[in-house]
Amino acid sequence: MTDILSSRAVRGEPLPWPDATIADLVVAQAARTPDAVAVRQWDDRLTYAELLSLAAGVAAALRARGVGRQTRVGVCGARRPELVATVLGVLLAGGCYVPLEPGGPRRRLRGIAADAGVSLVVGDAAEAEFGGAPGVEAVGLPGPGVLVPCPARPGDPAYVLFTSGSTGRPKGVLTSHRNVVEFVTGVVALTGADAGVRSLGIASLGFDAATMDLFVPLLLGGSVQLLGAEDRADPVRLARFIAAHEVNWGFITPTVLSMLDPAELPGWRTVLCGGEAVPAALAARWAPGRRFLNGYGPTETTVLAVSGPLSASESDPMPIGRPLPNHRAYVVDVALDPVPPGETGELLIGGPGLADGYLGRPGLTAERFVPDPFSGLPGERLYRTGDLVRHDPDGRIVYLGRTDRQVKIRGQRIELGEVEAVLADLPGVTGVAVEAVPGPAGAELVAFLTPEDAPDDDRLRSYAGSRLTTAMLPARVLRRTALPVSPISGKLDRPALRALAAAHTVAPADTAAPDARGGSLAAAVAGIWTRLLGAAPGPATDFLAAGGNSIAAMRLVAALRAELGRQVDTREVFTARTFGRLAERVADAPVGDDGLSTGNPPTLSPPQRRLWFVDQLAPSSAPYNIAVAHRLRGPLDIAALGAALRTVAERHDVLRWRIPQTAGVPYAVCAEPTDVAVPVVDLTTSAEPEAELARMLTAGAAHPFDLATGPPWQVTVYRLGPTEHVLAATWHHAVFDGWSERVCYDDLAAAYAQAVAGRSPALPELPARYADYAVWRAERDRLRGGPDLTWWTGHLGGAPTVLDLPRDRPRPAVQTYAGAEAAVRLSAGTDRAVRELAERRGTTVAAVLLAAFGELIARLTGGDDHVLGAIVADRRLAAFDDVIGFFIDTVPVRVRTGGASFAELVDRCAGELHEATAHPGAPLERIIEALGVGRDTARAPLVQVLFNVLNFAPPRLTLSGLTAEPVPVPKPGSPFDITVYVVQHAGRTGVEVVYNPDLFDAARIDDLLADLAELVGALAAAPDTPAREVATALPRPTVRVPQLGAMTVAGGEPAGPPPGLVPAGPDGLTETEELIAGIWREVLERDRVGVTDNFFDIGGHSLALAAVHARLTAATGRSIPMLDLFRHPTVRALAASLDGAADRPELARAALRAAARRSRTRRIPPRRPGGTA
Amino acid sequence: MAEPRFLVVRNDEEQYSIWSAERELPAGWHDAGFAGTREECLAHVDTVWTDMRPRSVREASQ
Repeated sequence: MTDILSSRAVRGEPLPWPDATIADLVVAQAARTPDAVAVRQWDDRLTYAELLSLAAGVAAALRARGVGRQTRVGVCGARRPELVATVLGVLLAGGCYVPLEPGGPRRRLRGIAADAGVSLVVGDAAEAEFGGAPGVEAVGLPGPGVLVPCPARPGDPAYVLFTSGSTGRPKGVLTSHRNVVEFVTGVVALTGADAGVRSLGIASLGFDAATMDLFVPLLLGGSVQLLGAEDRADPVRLARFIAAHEVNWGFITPTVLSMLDPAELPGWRTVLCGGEAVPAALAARWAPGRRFLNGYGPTETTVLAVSGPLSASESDPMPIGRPLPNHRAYVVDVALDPVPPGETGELLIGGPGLADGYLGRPGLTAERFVPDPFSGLPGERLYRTGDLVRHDPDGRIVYLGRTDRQVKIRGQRIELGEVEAVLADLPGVTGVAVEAVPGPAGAELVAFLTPEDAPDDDRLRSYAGSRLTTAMLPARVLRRTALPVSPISGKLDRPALRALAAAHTVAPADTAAPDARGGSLAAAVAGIWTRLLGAAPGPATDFLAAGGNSIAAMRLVAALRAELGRQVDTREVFTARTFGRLAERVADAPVGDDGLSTGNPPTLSPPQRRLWFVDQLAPSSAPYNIAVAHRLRGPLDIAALGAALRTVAERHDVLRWRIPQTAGVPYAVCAEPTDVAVPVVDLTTSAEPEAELARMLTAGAAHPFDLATGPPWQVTVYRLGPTEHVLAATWHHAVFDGWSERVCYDDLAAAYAQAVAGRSPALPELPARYADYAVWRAERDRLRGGPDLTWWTGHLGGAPTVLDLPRDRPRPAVQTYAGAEAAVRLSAGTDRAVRELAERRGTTVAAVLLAAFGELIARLTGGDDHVLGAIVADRRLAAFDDVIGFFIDTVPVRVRTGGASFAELVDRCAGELHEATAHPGAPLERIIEALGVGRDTARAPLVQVLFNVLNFAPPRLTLSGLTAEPVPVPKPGSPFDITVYVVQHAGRTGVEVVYNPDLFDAARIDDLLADLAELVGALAAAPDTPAREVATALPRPTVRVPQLGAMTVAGGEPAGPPPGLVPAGPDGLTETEELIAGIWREVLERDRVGVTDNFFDIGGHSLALAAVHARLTAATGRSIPMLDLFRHPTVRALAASLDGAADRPELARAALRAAARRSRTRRIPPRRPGGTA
Repeated sequence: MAEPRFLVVRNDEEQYSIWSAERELPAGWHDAGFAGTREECLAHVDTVWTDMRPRSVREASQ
């Protein structure tokens, strides 16, 4: 019998749990962390101490009214932090809470209160909903009180939740403190939640997922991020709430999750999804890069009984996982005998999560909770879930459907019989059947009524509206003379009903763009309505009568925002009700999508300004160029290519930008579209055409663009034969990025196809342009900049700002941007091990490689704390999907190694990569400024090693009539000491680096890469061993040991400050010193500056330096390299340099040495005194 | 054919359930002295299981 089932599959791990009540545990937690935030909703926060004090007040008021152990008390309150205190207050008094949610159908609410035997309802909405109800006393919130110990025992009931019942009457599930505490212990073990948990408080109190939202954080010292009713009902507001509250853990139903964008919520590290079947496509979107778990469990087994991680590669029907700790799961036939593995049966659940039963329903309890014949544990029960499942060979349980007629509508379990029972009581109805069918907004209920003249929709709504919840109200009602009967069984033919219901779903109308539908705004709104609700509306069509529900409203609002740019609130959909009034509201609604405005004049973004500045420092190098080339075979039409390129530049105005400056402040202007020159270089007569080509491609890739005057991109065609050409293009990064490549190729292909067909090429207008991004971003930075910057300075507190890897040559005193490349490919075995580890840890291959790289660096420097750079593509709005431009941010990533196992390092790195994307409001320049990182001409500030994890699949260029094949082009330079790229080639992971050959020899880099590949393999094979103990021979000495004398800065050797060379004292200022000091005072807005003050220590930053440069150039009439200002960061040193630096080289060197000393020794000061470094 | 017969059963926590009369009683469950159809047994449970708290909880409350 049971031995045919694998024991691993049927039993969760044994796991002890505290023998205490929920109240005891929260009280104990509050004593440990009284000042920690327990509940937050925007600016409303309750600390643990405040939460408990409010709860104590509630408990005192309840005790005064006779509440004690096991007394049931209704809770009726708005979704505000005080609601959590109200719930806790009932528990503290020893009572058992019964959620009675305000705003629902009043008759049902009062019916539940009566069924639950509740005579006391507490909460801020109690008076409004229960005032005047016979036999019920409403109690408001009494304010803070004094804590009295909770009299309840762990076996006492904690809450009663009412779920839909098969007899048409809801049934109350009795859940004990023990059930909850055991569940929380299990789910904490399952998800690794800790005191840092910020949970998503989204479930309504009447849905048992609220147990998870509230008690997981409150038993750990974490915080509940409690959503208000309005934030809960609107996907845009919901996403904003999650991001602003930095939610990192939470349960959500798949229907709601499907409306959120995973890219917008990288900080949400643990996503539990369930309450209804999770589609594989949803897992594919959400699983990559985070811990994504399915959560399955009836209320009767306390929130979750079966759970497990889901990967991006699952397929439907979906596995729901394995039993939670201490739980048992069996798959049985109708006689309760186990079915063979792999066969379908009903799922039975056993374990300490089992509820006591249904309040006041002993017969029903005996029916659903049956003796356990399998475990051998005496007197144990099993709950019959009514769910059809099977065991997969890997031991996971796969969900297949329901055995009875319960359905899920928007996450709520609805018994169709309950709806039928209510409708059958409506006068004038002789027969009724209700079925659930797939609808435009998820499953929806369709009711069939007899006779044909049964009451109309209005009468039905006014009758059923007070007796059924919104989810239970039929979306559509069909009236018939008779209901179909099966000729075989003589029973109601439900399949026929479902077919009938489906046939009456109006086919979705043409989803053409709004413009194509007649142009008017109302027509556009009608188009969206038709698509989402399945039928075209008339002016009087009622949203709810048309099948609209809260989910459809969320989708409607999202579509109005995305497609029409109109800001409409979900509330307005419900208050408008009819299509006509909604269309009016839309017409009156403010335009703009989350602050996205269009038609802005050319505006620079912060990353563009940063690149511009680097360009000023090193005007003749081109480390930020992007160069590509394709070999084209076939007849190339040069004229058509020129016309197509012009069309691309017309569409993407950023390609026509110029970036001049005035007084050191860069700004953008846009040139008119002109014909694009396509120079053709003929190599057909060359003796060595391929060598010549390679040389010219290299030179083209390094072309120094003058951002102020010329186009920031260029194209060259190399002719190798009548039907063989190489098309090479180079862009300055300030107007282009990796993503832009695909956009550019697509547009070029479309325009070229039109041109060769003899037409004048044209591309559709873009919904938004790069300038709109810069403006949108400026607004975001304004709103989020403060908090994000605070986060960064806190996060990087105590981190070193210099990373010096062992090298072969002294560091040039002024950073060079020379570049060379190297690559390594992981072995098949290592590649597999890395992928498996990434999957197990719920993260990406890149995070695993970052962890290994971090460990390698730690072994090289002997330090355990380093800052690397990562890059983030800031393409968060769909409107920018097809926009060419520079949407890249470089962000610092702090990698801390030491003592940890590799698995822990991987988790840390995954967390870092996600955190780094979650705080976009503060660009790198501001972070550097806020950290007070000393500037130094020898290296890039803060980030000297970049780890590039952006992994765009290389786009393909297809030009009509031609085959195109990429030609490798060497990278034009290295903006950092080393840039590491994680790449995928032919299904295998590889690492490519661009490094500066002025620092490193090729042999050292080759060895470093080989060692990295070997180390990551060894670490992935032993993920639980302390990382430092793995493959201790790596890296080899040729990587580890620097060349003698190489760890210095060139030209900075003489020790000690040159005495007597710097004239001291403010009185002896030279004319040049006066001039420079005056400009500094003006630009830095300071009353005084000392002649030996370092510019970057007294508030100067890159863009201020540019302003100083512009004024100094204007005042002296001389051409001064901006780099000189960097090299000579004091008034005295700069003046000496201007007055004849050749005579005083010591001054320059002294300043450089000082800068180098500062960089070497400086760590970012921790935010708080005594904080850990 | 006659309807399947069930027994009303009870464990040491004095929780009631029903069990097929044809099958051996699982460990820790006892015959509560009533047999009948499924419906009859459930109706009987409705009349005899008057305090649904587990015995350990009930006793700790007294």
